[in-house]
Amino acid sequence: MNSPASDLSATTRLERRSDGTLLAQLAGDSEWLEVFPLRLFPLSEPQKWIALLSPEGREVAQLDSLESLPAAARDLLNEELSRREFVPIIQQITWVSGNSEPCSWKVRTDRGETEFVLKNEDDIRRLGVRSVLVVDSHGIRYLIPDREQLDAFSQRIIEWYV
Amino acid sequence: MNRTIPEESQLSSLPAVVQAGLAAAWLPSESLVALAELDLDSKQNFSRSFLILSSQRLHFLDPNQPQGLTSWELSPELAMRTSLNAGLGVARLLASSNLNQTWNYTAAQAALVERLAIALNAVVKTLGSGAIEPGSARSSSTCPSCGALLSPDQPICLACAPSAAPPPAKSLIRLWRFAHRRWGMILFGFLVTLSATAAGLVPPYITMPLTDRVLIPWQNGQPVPFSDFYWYLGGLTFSAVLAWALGWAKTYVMAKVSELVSADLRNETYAHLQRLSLEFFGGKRTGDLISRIGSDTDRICNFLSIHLLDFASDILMITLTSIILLRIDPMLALVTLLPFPAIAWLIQRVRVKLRHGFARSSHAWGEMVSVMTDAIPGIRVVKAFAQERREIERFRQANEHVLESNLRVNQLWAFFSPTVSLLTEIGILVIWTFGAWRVFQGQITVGVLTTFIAYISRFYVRLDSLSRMLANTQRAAAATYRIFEILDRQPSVMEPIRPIDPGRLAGKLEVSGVRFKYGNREVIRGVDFTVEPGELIGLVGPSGSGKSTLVNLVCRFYDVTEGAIFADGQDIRSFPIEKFRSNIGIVLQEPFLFYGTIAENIAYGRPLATRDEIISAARAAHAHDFILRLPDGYDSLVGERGQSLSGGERQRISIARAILTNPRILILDEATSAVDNETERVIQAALDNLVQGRTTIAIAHRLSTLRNASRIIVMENGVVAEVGKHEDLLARGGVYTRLHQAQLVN
Repeated sequence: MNSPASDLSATTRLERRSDGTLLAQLAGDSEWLEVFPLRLFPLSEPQKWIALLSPEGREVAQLDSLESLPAAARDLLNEELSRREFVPIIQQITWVSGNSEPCSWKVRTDRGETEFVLKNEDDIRRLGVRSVLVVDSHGIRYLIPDREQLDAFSQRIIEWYV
Repeated sequence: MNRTIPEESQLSSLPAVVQAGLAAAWLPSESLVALAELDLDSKQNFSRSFLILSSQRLHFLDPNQPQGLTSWELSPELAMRTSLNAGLGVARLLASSNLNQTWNYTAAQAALVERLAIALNAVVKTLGSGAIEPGSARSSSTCPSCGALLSPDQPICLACAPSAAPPPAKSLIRLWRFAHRRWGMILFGFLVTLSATAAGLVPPYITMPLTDRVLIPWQNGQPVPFSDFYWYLGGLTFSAVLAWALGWAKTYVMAKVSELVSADLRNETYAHLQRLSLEFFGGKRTGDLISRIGSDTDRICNFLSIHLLDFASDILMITLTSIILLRIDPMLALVTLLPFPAIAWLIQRVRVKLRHGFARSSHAWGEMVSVMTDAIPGIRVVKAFAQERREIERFRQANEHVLESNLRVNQLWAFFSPTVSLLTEIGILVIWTFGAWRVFQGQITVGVLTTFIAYISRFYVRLDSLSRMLANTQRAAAATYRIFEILDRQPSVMEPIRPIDPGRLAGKLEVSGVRFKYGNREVIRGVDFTVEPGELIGLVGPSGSGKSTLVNLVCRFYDVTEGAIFADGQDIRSFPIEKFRSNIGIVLQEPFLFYGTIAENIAYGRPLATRDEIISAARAAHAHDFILRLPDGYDSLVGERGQSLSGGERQRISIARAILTNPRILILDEATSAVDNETERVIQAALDNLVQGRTTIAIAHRLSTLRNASRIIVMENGVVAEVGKHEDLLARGGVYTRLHQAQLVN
């Protein structure tokens, strides 16, 4: 197993193929590889530590920071990352069907309004002091970055759980 | 195969929005193949749109756009790829390998979109031949979360699909199924309850004539027949004794009924659980299942015997009291009862707050306990890394949380009971005021007023218990719901309708065209092989290649999605499950010993085996020698709470267990993986005795253990990659060689 070189941010080139997949040319390598990006710390440090993986899931490169990439590559990467990530941010809890699980929730998120089912009280967990992650019955994750920024009703509901 | 279905009936099965958007564009010759709803737009905002696949075109309909319909003619160049990643699904439409369009959706819609994509790719493939294979996109599969068998038309498991509604209170009514067996006792219980409540209402009623006809006339110096006084006193005593006796009877009868019902419930749930197919028991669920049978049935029992009974007698009492009061004096009764709903509402409000407080504090308590259960079993790690301080701090914080939430609850709790008494006092004060005024007006007697006071103070005491009813009902409904969730589950491995007795099988196994889907993932993708009676074959391959799934299919822990497995030429699905399994023996990587003696554990599959048979099985399994060294020999207790045995010793007991049942087909699932080389040699010797003359499928991690195998089947990605003898496979230089070399390096 050859371990990927630690930081290739400055020398990696990225391109999009016509079928939509992402190609990367690593430093000192003439070959273009099909890759997909993944954040290593998606919740605590999203702008740094990006891994590029082959379609089989093997890591081929690690980028320490998005900022040090050339602008074009950074945009491509951001686009690709946002295409793979889906963590709506809950701005308001508008309705909860009851206080025993399973219960359904109606929420307003940064991606619009939606409704989901909470299966288990363990699916709500505290991440930091005030941030909370909610996982619905389908495994979709919703983030509350700061529960004290929510309105009184939403806060009260979150407080049942954390 | 191209049926022409009238356009209306095709479209009318679709949601109204889709019908409206499609009607203009839909061609008479088109027929509907699949529909998927997308719940995200291209910027991943929640928004509803649709993909509709017809026999000729793919339509994308966005009802939020004025010109929201886009269509693609199906052609062999078209293909659709889907991927699902952490809740977000992406479907990409490719035309001649160029990206044409992408769509986003959440995991909630993934099953339907994936089905549409499979259908599209299948339709496109068969375009040249002009026929659509109906079966191509529609084969049954298994739900990945509960293991239920899904029909082709139902891509999402109903049991695991989000149940939008909270546990319906109607599930409580389903308890009747268990209660009606005891209906006689229940009827008796309710009659006793009714009479007990009625008896409790007699004493205040007697105080009325006692005051008006005896005490007040006597005080005013009027002649009073003194015998009346004794009569009333006797009545008071009698009704008190009666209420006591009936109260005793009602509690006893109802407690007995509810214990019987919950015992029935426990038995039936556990029996049903044992009959469910293996996939229902995910590793994580053990605790949950145990608590469902234990504490949920207990909760239901409490609800039936205490809460429901209290509630029934409270309601009875309130109704009866209201009737009595209204009959004595309607005006005073109205004034008395008027504040009652308001007070009940107030108490209910405080109760809700209190309940949340209690929930929070129990949550905090749970968190504190989990800090301990985390750190104490891991104490060696904590000490090795010198992190005691940090663990102490973690506990201190959790404990502080407990303290804080308990203090908050106590604050509310301290406020609650005095408030109820205050409200009671105020209610009584109202009666005093209004009642006294009525007495001054000469409209009622003193006796009536005393009776009212006596009745009403009983009234308010019950308010508190009434306010708890709602929460208790919710809790019991949730418990019932969880129990019925188990009871409603059907085993996915079904008994045959017309079973064939397998008798004693010769042991020939044929695996033919077997495919197995686990949710949307196809784990076994077309496997064929035959094992002759008495043959030992090895099954190897990287982890995740489908080896264990394959033997689970042979044991009928799951049923195949497509294809069939034959034993002695008969489809194994035509045998009664129990009779078929009695022909199968299995030795697992992690042998499981039940709590009991060694002899009982060896005889687990044949409880009636003689001592002689047990001993010879143990000898054959090379277990006899170490059993002799145990303090109680074959009577030594093992399993949880019992004598601790090493991995190799446990494995040899489980081999003895398999030898004793004398199976025709033997499955060895990595039987020697968990032990060291020395122990492996002893186990291998035991296994050699076991496999004699039996059809054996041995999954092995260590290829060296398969030297005796007549053939080795190498699996990779759900298909058979190579078949052959050890040497042949090595010479071939394929997957097997790769696995072999990896082990040599290690």
